[in-house]
Amino acid sequence: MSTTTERTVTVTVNGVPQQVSVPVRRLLSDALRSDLGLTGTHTGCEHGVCGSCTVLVDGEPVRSCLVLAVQVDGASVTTVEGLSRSDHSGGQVLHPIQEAFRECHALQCGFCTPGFLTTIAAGLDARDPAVPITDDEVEELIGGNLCRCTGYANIRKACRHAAEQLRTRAEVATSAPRDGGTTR
Amino acid sequence: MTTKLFGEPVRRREDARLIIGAGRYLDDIGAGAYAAAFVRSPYAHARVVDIDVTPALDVDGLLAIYTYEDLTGPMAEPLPVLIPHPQLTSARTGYTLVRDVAHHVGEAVVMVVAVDRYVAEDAAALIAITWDELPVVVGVDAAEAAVHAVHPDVPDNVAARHHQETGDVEAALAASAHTLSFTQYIERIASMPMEGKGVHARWDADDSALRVHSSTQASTSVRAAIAAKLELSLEKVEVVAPDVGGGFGVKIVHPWPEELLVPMAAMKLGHEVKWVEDRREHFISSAHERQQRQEISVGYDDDGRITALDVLVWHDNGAYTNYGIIVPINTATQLCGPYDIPVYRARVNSVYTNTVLVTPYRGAGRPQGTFAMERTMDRIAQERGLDRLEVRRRNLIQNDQFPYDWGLTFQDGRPLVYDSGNYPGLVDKLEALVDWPGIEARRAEAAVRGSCWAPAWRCTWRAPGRAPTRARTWRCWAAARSWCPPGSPRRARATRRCSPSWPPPSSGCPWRTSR
Repeated sequence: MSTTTERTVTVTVNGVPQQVSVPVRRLLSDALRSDLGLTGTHTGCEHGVCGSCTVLVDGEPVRSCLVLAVQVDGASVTTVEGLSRSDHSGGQVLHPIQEAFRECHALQCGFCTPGFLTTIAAGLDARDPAVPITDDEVEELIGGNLCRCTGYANIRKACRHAAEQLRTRAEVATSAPRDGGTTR
Repeated sequence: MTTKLFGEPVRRREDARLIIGAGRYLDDIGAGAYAAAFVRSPYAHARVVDIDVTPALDVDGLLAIYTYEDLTGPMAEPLPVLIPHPQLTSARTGYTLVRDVAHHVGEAVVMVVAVDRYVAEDAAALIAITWDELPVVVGVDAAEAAVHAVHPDVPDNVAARHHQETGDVEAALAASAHTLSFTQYIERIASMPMEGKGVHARWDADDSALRVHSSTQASTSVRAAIAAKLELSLEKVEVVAPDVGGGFGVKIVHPWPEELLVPMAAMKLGHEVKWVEDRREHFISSAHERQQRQEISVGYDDDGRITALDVLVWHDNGAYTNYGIIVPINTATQLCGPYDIPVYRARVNSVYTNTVLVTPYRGAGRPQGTFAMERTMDRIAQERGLDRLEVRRRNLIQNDQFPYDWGLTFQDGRPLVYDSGNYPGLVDKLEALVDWPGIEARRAEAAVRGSCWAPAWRCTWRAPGRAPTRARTWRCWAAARSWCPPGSPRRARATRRCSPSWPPPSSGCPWRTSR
């Protein structure tokens, strides 16, 4: 099989079913950025070290620079563009970690930010929001991502801030179950 | 500045885009552009004997291959010395593509343009270069020994000798109650912005106009360089710095060869061309900072007060001096920091090595100076059996000594004068904040927990940038509207965050909206 052999990949990206024909050697990061035009996913090192290119494949964080596009055939992929959702009136509702990054000044140049956001969002969404987040949990959440601007202090702060938001919402949801249990 | 800018959170305008993946970094531009890739030197010092591009010619999607032979006019001449200096007597710069001899690993030899980056790299991998290896010079010691020369016409490897003094340091040392001398080394640091360099160029043949995006800290000067090198008038060249994923000094150096070659290819091919530096390229070919050997002699009295300081710095400037000698001048002139040094002499030998060029990076020579000064303080404390903070306190410039004229010339050519300050007050405050008297007890506690603490003092001084990043012009469009273009493009400095509050009301400029 030549490196230029093409394959059709069927994948759901940010909730939208997509079919793309890509050379079998194309990286998922390149397919997202070039073939689907989703440039929010950034490639900082292209060898799985910096975490900038992190996307969620079936809810789990993966380095899109270490995955071939053909490997996500049949999967569901979430990029930073898919972290927010539309509300009933068509407005944009950000994930709490997106709001928290802005609130806590957890970004400067913003290049590494999409990878942090996807990773942290997956981690926060997977945990019991009623349990207060520990410093060790925060360290574990962000330990695989590099940032050169912030020194991480405000990124940690944003994690705690978002976890607190989710806890408050969970409490509200528990006390008024008919409002639904959404975490966003 | 008004007090309103302090103590209140200012929401950055760009964050709304950056947190939803709607940033516009270099590689987010030019989706249909051809891609450039480079064949780079695998040797630190080697002569090109032959370049065989034949095997690459059959690659589907290949569009062009350029070597030095294809460069004409100003493009075939060496890159400019950005900041000349009278003491930079042997300035040397490379070419946009290697001409005959590569002087460091990573130097670009061949540019390949193809339909996409995958294909461009396929073709680049097939290009065979025959090299004749030459002896290499690595490290300041080897450069000083000068057994081999980086540039044959600079046999001692010395690019510049910089010398400043405020008095007769040798006499002052001889008259000092105590003296000590030591030599220390500082290693190299790679710049490593999260986003590497990158260039996108679009040539409009009808208008004979070039539009270039570069991930740069110096768009204005890149524009001038492109115009000069490609023989275009300035108004036909536009250079835009989009969102920049970190500058770190490596992006203030310009023009990088790629900033000239990519536009050249766009003009020749009549199509958009883009090059995005990958991390491997950044590791092997982008600028470094820091490496120095420092030979320090200090004289002091019984109380640990410095009476004379003599510093000889061997500064490794890499293979070329594109950015002049700003970095070692910063080391020499800001080394003394907030301390009162009665007699000071700094001598710098800036030397060539077969390594990537050294440029400003986070401090631009100042951290090396601070390291020299603070290690000197620690050694005096050790010799005199004094507390490290107490030695520093005794040597601080006192409040009644301002304005403090060093009698030195700063890198901008102007006298180095400290106008005001309260350094003892700062140190007192910091001492309380970190509980310095209790630090040893806390260190012992930490050791019990298996944690190794090494408390250190660093009193540094630096000339700040001009807020809010060198605004050059205020253009008043109308009575209620002004636009203040930032002189340096936004990067990790939150220029946009500041913009809504600039110019300040105190300027008297009638403003409501800025962009």
